[in-house]
Amino acid sequence: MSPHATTDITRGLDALRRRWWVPVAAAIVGGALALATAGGEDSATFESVVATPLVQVNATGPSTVPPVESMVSQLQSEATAKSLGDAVEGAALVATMAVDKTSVSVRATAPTIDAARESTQAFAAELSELYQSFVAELADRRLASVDAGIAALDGSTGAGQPNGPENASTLAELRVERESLTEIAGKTAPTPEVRQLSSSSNRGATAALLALAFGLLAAGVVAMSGLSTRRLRYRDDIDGVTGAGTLISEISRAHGNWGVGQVIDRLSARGPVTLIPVGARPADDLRESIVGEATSEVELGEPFARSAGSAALRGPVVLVVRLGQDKRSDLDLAHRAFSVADGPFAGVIAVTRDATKVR
Amino acid sequence: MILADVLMVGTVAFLLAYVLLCSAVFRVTRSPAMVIVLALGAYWSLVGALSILPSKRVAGGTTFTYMEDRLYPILVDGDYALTLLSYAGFLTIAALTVLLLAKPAGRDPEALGTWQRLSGRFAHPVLVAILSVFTALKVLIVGILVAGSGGASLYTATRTVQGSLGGELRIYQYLNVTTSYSLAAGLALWLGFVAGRQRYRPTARRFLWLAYAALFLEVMAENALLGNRAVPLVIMGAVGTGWLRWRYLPSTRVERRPQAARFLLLALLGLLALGAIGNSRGGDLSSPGAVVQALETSVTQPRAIVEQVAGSSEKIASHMSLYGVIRSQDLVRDPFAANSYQAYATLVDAPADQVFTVHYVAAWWMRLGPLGVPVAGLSFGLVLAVLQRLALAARGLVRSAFALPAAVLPAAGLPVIVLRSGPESLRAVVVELVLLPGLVCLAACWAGSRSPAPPDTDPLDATLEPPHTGHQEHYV
Repeated sequence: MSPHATTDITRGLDALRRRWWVPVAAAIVGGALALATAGGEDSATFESVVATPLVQVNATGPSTVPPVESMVSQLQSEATAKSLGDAVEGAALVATMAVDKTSVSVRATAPTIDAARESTQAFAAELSELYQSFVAELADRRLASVDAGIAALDGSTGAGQPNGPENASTLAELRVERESLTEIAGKTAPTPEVRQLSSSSNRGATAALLALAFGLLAAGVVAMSGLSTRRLRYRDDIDGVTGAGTLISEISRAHGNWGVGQVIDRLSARGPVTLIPVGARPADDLRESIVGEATSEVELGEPFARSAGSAALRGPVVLVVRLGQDKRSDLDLAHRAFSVADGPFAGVIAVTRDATKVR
Repeated sequence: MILADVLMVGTVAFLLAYVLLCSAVFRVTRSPAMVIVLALGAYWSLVGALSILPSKRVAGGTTFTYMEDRLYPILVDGDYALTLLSYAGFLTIAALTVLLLAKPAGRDPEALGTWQRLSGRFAHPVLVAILSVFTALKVLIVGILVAGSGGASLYTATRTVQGSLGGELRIYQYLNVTTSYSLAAGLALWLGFVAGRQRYRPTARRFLWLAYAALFLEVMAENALLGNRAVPLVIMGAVGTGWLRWRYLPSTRVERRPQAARFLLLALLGLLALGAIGNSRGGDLSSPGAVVQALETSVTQPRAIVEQVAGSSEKIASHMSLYGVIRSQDLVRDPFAANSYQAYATLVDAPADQVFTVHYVAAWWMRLGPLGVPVAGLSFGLVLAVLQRLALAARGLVRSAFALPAAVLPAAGLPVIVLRSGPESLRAVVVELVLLPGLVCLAACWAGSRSPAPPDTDPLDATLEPPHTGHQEHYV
């Protein structure tokens, strides 16, 4: 943590106030980047659930379990993709069996909504066909048995025949079953229903996410840069270089230039006061603010950086620091130059950025 | 550039920004607990996206994780973008709320001194005695639970309070929380202040070291047996936080280097222990012998542990829950839902045998819709700020007793309790992280304030002597 009383949060917030446009610009760039890159048509995913229940072709016999795994692997084969052709071009397929294998979820993702819908329909129809073919094959096999039974019983149902009534009843049942089997075998696969799984729009949320991320990142970087104490921004920064109590006055819009004249007058008891700017020479109206109130002899010297401290001095030296502009290292050098061996250093006057408006 | 790439850029950029936010929170609060909470908050919210998004770049985004196969598939679409945005918004609001409402540590430069004084008058023997009694009771109940678990794995049998052993399980959970969390608070204070330990005679000191080690190992063994990673994580987080706050941060730079090396080594071992527990639970591990054997096998295969930790579904389970809520077309908002876990399970039609997690933001979304995101962020940040203020200094007997658990337990406890559940978990924060361990600590503080100082030490020397030089400069 900074050893100065001005907290890091204050420094960070001040930095954000000074460069508020950086995070704003970063947020705009982030949002625009998202819109530009994710702005095309969204890829989409559709789903269709194909029923694959147990098959019961014989009313009295056991149910038959359809080979769902084999159907799914056939569906996922390259051969199927080739046979379906353009309908599934560029689509990715995932087929998931239900735990009890009585249905299969067919999901296809494609670069466009229409392509995804079409490919899902094609895959689901193919699976439905495979299932229906299996059912039809079972029905055909059973149909052959039923036809053989009918042929065997056809001439043995007369009243004079042995077991005639029973045979007639069995024959009638077989004919009903035959009708049902014919219907099952001739059934066509149902048209699968598809539904869109993925939501269609992503532009707003994506743009907002990138705007937030970029804006916050830039705000963080700006705030962190504000923690740097390379430039003198606060009174504490001056105290940190020249020692506590060396800041003798501050000229700002809020405080005016009250006290500067009196301080200079008091110091002039030790000889004519020289004000030495640490950085650049202050503007003319500011010079007036600094020295105008003093009644005693006062001189505004050359900036320290130019004079290199070589001016002939007859009295105390007061360093003038422009907060927010002058560097800590310059103040440090100037302070050392005028403090060595009981040098003439008498204190620091801080001038804020808005001080040019002081009258 | 496909949508998964754009979202990846956004997520990574946000996480970088979040690191800066956490750094700002640390600068203000000087509290490692706050940073750990916020870091774990990101782990359970957004880090899951870092493994989900790359997997969606191949095969048209149709590669699914185990959790997706069991619950619902994640598709990189508008709903997923909204999920990521909501988590980012939640984390930002939570961190900014802490920044605004937490008390800057610099305003109380004497805070460390108050903790130091507490360590000098905290009666560790009393704490150890209370915990030993509770532990004996707890072990008895664990025996009953193990005997009554039937054919189910010990992990599955002790997950939910139900069946004929529901009563015993509930008592066990409260005893486990009380003993484990109080142990963590006491241990953090014991390890954090050398002067606090030095006021005991060498024999008493050795006894306390042994007692703390035995209690710690018992808690670890018991939770490993039942497959519970959360309690060991909370204990390790609390002890680590206390040590960082009271020992590491006040140390000089020279002292810090070996301390950091030791800390990192212990943290790695802790992580491996958690991974070993994760590898040795569930399935057909229905007897203590089977669990112990699985643990032995697990410990001898560090690579499997690392894979378990790296590939854990933990970060994905909570991350995906908000997506499941947002994409659901059957969502009926119920602001007063009592049980978020149950409401979420019903909403996504979760299989009964699947253990999963519902994120705090998802729970709020089920109640308030999109408005739930700022409400979740504000409430989470507010809880953090209140705990930080309570834990800033240890002044007064009663306040110190509750400030101690509040200073260390939230580090991992708050994310474990709150981020994997709904707003109903806020009650558990007060009860489990502050009230129950606070009452146990109160007994130790009270006994410590009444007992005379050990005859061979001057109480003033023992309590006021700073353990290290250069404390204050770090706390100003």
